[in-house]
Amino acid sequence: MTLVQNNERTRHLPGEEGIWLFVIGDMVMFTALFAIFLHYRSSSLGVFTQSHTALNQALGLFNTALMLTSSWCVATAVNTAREAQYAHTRRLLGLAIGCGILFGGVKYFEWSEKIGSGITPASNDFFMFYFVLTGLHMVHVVIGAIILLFLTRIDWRVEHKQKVHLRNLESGASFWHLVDLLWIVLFALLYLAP
Amino acid sequence: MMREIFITRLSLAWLILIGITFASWVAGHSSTPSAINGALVLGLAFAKVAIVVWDFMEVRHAPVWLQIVTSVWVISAASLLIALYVLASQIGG
Repeated sequence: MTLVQNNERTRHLPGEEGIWLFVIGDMVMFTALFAIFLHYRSSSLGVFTQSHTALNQALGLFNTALMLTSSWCVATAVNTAREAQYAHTRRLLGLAIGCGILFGGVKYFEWSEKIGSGITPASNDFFMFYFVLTGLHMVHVVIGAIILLFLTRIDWRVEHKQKVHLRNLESGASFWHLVDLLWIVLFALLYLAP
Repeated sequence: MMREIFITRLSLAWLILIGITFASWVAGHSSTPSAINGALVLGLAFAKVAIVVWDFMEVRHAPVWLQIVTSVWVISAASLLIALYVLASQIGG
């Protein structure tokens, strides 16, 4: 019984409860969108399998590596803040923002390439989903990068506020990891699955 | 200090995630594309999602209710999407 109680005591919710409600809600919403995508795929399988080959998979792979690396940076930043190594926290958050900006640049290039070759959301259902889903994800990337930017501005010197700052950092980190995991599924669904 | 930052469980998780990404790239580029390849790609994606949730989002240290909710989501979303993908492939061709 004591062991169980101790175990419960060491458990820790990273960030605010509210951010987890948002994260779970967003996960469910995106799952519904992915299911709708697959429903449309079933009614025009030929169009979807043909259109998916037009996507630049190498860029998708590069962006996946960027997202995973940025998530590592953010998770490690949280650990360094817990150990009061705030200079490292700031640097790692800066690196994660850099990955996010690069991700956006690659996405902008990809969209421009498609639109330049006459592929738009109106081309067919696959590309409608491609632009809507990657667009919605990009909105998350921008919001996440702005949150990370605010987190780099935290003044850790005020000792009595450090607990609150850490909680805010954990909340922002949870949001950024959501952005990462949504991309992982998007990459598989749109780019890789034949 | 650098050792403490780079030689961690998080870095191991990152390495595994990159490894699974390349494995799913290979599965997605099979010379004989099939519903099985697609299902494998989606399954590997959700394995990555589980690692992100468990290690990067620190759910492994979180209260049990969060572990249950996130696990239920990962398993049910993976099952739903893989089932829809395979069914659509069978209906369509």
